[in-house]
Amino acid sequence: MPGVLAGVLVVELSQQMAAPYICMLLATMGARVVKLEPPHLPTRVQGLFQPQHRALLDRGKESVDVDVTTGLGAEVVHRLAARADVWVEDLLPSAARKLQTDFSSLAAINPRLVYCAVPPFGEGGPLADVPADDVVVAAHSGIYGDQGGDGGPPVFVYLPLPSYGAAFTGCLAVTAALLAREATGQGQKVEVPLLNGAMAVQTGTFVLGPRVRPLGGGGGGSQGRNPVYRLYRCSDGTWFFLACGNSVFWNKLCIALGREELTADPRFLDAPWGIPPEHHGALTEVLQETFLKRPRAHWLQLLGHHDIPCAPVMSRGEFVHHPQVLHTRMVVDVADPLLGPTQQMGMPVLWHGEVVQDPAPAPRPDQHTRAVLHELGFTEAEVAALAVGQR
Amino acid sequence: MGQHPLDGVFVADLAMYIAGAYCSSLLADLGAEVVKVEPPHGDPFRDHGGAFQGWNRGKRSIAVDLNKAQGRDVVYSLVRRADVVVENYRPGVAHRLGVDHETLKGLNPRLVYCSITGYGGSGPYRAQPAFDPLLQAQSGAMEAQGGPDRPPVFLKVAISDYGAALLGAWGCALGLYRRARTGEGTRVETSLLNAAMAIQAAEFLLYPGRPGLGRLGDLGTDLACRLYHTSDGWMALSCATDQEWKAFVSTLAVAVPTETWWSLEAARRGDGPLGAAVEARICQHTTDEWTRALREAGVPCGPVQRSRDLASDPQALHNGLVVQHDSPDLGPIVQTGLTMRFSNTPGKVWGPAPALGQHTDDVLAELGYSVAQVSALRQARVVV
Repeated sequence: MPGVLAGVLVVELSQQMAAPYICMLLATMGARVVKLEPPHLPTRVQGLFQPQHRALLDRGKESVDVDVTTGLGAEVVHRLAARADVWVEDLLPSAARKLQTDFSSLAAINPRLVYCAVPPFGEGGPLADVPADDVVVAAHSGIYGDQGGDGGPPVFVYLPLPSYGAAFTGCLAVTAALLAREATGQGQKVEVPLLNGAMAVQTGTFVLGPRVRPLGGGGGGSQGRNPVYRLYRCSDGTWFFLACGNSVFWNKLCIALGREELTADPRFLDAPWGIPPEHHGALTEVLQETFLKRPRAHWLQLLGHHDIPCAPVMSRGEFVHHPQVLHTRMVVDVADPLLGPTQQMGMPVLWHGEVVQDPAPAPRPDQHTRAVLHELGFTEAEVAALAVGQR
Repeated sequence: MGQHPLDGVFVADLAMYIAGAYCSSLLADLGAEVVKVEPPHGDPFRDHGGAFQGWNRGKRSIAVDLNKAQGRDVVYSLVRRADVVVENYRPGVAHRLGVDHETLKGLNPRLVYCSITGYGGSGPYRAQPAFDPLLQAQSGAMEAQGGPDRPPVFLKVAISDYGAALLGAWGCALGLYRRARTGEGTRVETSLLNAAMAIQAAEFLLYPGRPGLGRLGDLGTDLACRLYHTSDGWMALSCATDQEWKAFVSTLAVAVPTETWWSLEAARRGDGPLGAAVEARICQHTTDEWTRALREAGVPCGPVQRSRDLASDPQALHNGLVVQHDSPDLGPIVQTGLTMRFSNTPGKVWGPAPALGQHTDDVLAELGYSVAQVSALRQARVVV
């Protein structure tokens, strides 16, 4: 089956991580993605975003390296915008206006264009042009503070969650705008700042009110707070997560461990979610003492036998060999032109019965400049002029 | 301002817990009309009180016993009107309840049917129970957050649930887009497993010799990308260029041992004498003072807040990320607003999460059931 977005042309102008990921995901659905990589607009490489990530984030795209600040470069932008269906950009709003790649400039060229802005904080508002990236937005949005919990220091979360949240939200917003265009014939601007992405993955936490018991409250609890919904260590030093998410699983746990008397213990009557916090420690201690007596394999087998939800803590390197990951082809082999053989994520959203195809690798920077410029109708002399002083 | 992106789209939401429930709620944000079909005892995650509000905003609720034939008929009436069905049963359960794709497609060939499973619709783990932390554990997220030779850490953001909700909603939009162009219904799938990888996609790029991230325990990766203690709280810093790092050190006005310390490379190498000097200096002023001065100098930094602080955050308010509702279960609440802003087709905040069965009468009336029929169904405990 041809991709659902076949025939959709996406142009990307990005410095951070969410915008390239949006475009990569759109490419998995058949969209053609042209990535503009102007030499004066280097990718912002910070602690969480390494240059090698392009092997994943840019796979299946075409790379065009032109200086968009020159007159001829602006003409490239103009011709691409005229043909594009979707434009995805993550520059600070002031920088986009300066380059004249902001929404109003491009919508004037192509009223059917769906323009997706992914700035750090917003297209407007007090922080619109404040320098920021994933880490600054994660801090601002509460992800580090809530991970630390009440009374403890904040904890740096090593996954760039605002970027991932904004990337998935961006795909949804762009596709919804394409759908609306089917009805109205009009493009529009959609905004998915990283701050919004951060809130999109905290909607259960961010609910406040006099009668609300907050999910994000309570102490730090790096291994979990609820004694039957947390990490435990085993005698061989390995860890597993126990997830008795309802009272049925709690009762099964007591039976499996031969500790039926716990179900009648007045302190734990409202297990799992209603155990009063002052009794968490006592039950955690009982369970940790038990699990430290045998190796993990023993417990996983015993708990699995009783249909009690639990899973071993694994590394990413181990997970790619997980039988279910192999079965679903969520890991694919991609030969990257710069890194060589790699393993990468497969297709996260599938059509029923679809066979996962191996994705095309990321382009070398500048790989498609000439081809795309010719396609846009530039003469050989213009192409040569555009290519002057480049990589 | 025109219609909403999903104006006129009707969603029969058979999902519970987090991923499926929040998926449908996102469709409501885009203007779809969502009816949440709950079992008579309700979505088990109603126990989570406030959080349930965040995952079920903007829906109506009907409570129907799908184990009874008449209950099934109610759902079939809904499905005949529906454009989208969202479900997150364990594989096999939808079939047992008579709401599997094959059956519903027979009632409505234009249906976009979205399945969100734990591990996928087939394969050796398909029937395993799946909760977010189990996927966090297996997919390496907990181990990576803990770091080498330290215990794994349970992430408070339910990464696989939120990822699957967002990807599922995207799948529904893709299905509707495809239907607009071809006229055909379709089935789209995602899973907590897929989402756990997709929300760590860059981290899952594996190849021989991949460099690891730096690590300063629970505080960050290196001097240029970490959390710093100020005189009244915490501040995050994330320099990505020599220029930003130099502006940071200059603004701090700390003595730099040698000129080599001006480079980002030096900041990444280790904390040496400069690390201690920077920490001591930052402790001398408030987060607000440092944030103002450093932002003025072009340095990416900002306060470390709690999510609850967003309720009064000027930027969050500007972005429309904060809305107030009067919840039928919890009274006045503040919760997340629309996370997408459209210039022409605005999207919609319909209202709070519904009480269990709050709209059973209304929805059944819309489906053509008479008052007497509804009361008979209620008496027979088919609907609540």
